[in-house]
Amino acid sequence: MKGLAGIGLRTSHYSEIRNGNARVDWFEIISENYIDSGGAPLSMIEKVREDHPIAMHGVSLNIGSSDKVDKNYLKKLKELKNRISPFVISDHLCWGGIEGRHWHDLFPVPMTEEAVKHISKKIRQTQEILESRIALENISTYLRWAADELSETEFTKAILQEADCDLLLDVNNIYVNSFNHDLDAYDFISKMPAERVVQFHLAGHSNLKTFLFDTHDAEVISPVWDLFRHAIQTIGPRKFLVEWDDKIPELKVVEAEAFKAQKIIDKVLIERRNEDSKKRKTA
Amino acid sequence: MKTAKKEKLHKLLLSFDRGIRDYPHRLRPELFQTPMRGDWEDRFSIYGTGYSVRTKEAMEEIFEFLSSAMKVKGWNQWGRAYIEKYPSRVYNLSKIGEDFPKFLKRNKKLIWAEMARFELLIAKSFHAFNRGEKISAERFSEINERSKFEFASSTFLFESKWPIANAWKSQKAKLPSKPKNEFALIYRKSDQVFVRILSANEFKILKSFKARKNLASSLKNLDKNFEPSQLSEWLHFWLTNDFFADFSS
Repeated sequence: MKGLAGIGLRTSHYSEIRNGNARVDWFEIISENYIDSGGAPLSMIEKVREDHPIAMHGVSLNIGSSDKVDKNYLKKLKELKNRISPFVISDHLCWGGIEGRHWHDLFPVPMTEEAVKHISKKIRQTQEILESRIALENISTYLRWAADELSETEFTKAILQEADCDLLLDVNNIYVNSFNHDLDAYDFISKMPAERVVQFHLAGHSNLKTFLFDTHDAEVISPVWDLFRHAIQTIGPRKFLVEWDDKIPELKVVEAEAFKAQKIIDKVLIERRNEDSKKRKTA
Repeated sequence: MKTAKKEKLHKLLLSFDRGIRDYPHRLRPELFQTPMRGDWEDRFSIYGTGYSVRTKEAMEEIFEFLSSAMKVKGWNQWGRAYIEKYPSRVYNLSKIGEDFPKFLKRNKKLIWAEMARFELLIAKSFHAFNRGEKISAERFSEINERSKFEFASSTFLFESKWPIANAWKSQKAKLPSKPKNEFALIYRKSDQVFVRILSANEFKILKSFKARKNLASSLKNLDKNFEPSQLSEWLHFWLTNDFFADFSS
């Protein structure tokens, strides 16, 4: 299946990409790196989008905060959307600032009924302002709130349903959370609404012994590949992205990770086709 | 009922926010579930330390020369003091250092403040949104003494009592030791940012242009050493290096 493999657009790979050496199908940009920048970064994405579809992935939407939606931020996001026509706009199901302060981080939201209502309302407003659907990514967390009333699956599903938005399913984050909070990662994936999943993320993390830290600075580990296979089997093939944001290696190394994911998808699809064909013969 | 519930979410997030602001003091373990492995303080430290790590990285990108010139100890001390004094109010990390020159000046670090002011302009020039169309060479002949010039968004004048731009151009990560008046212009051509050291007369003309005065008025009050023949040379350089977004004839 073609057109699925993506990686993050990073400055250290600019020259290789400009020279036409990229082999992946699409690139993801961090929206904030471009919404306030009209120089070289913008020229670069305008060049990249001539040959590759682009996904806009943000980190500052702050959707889980009790603050109101930031209309100035959304105005700029919409301007960028109109300029580069991304195939998806996404951010994270988290909060990162309150009362105008920004911590530039992805903090866990208390998983309560009130938060579901508040966040869903903000998502609907966001989609209205952007005139576009958005996808939210499940994040890695290191702590759970004592105030939590819902499980992460219940919380995520309730927001997707009430806000009518899409899900960017980060397989590595599910694995990290399953270790950090002693949860069943396979069960989490099986419970996600497949029709709302628009993209998968894959990444490496660091093992700090008592918990895992989502660092995006290494190769994807074997159990996460297994989980990804399960996601493809249960949800189906979708566009996917390998995230590598720290200690970034050469372009070909990041691409090699993306091609591993592509192989898994192709293998699952072949197996499925063989099974269907067997069933037809038996019938 | 709804308000009370929303307040509950707000209060919870504010408690977390306070924990980050005053990290590692004022932590409240009752806010979190006890983790299955390890202790919650270790886990909270990921959030508690993340802000200073990220803002430090972002500031080093903007103040590349200054952070080297201040050396590790000075940079860590003053960088940290700054982010504690000015918690980020911007959604974009690339705008984190807006108040850094002001902060350094208030703390009597005058040369550092000047370099910070200069590097902030370099960053602003890099990120500025310029109009797509450039002034074509065919239009140069339209310039007359009534012409007014509009600076490109990426063009900035810089004036200092210290030779800051010269030090920056030397790339030696060494700040000037003696004061000397300096005029410079920061501009962007083909997405690359350049710095031009200006004479007092070139600076005066450009400053006057920036104030939207026409060419004839801008040539008044120049130093005696100004030679009118220099003007056509300068104009050609300014126009061919995208200093201006437009001009009226």
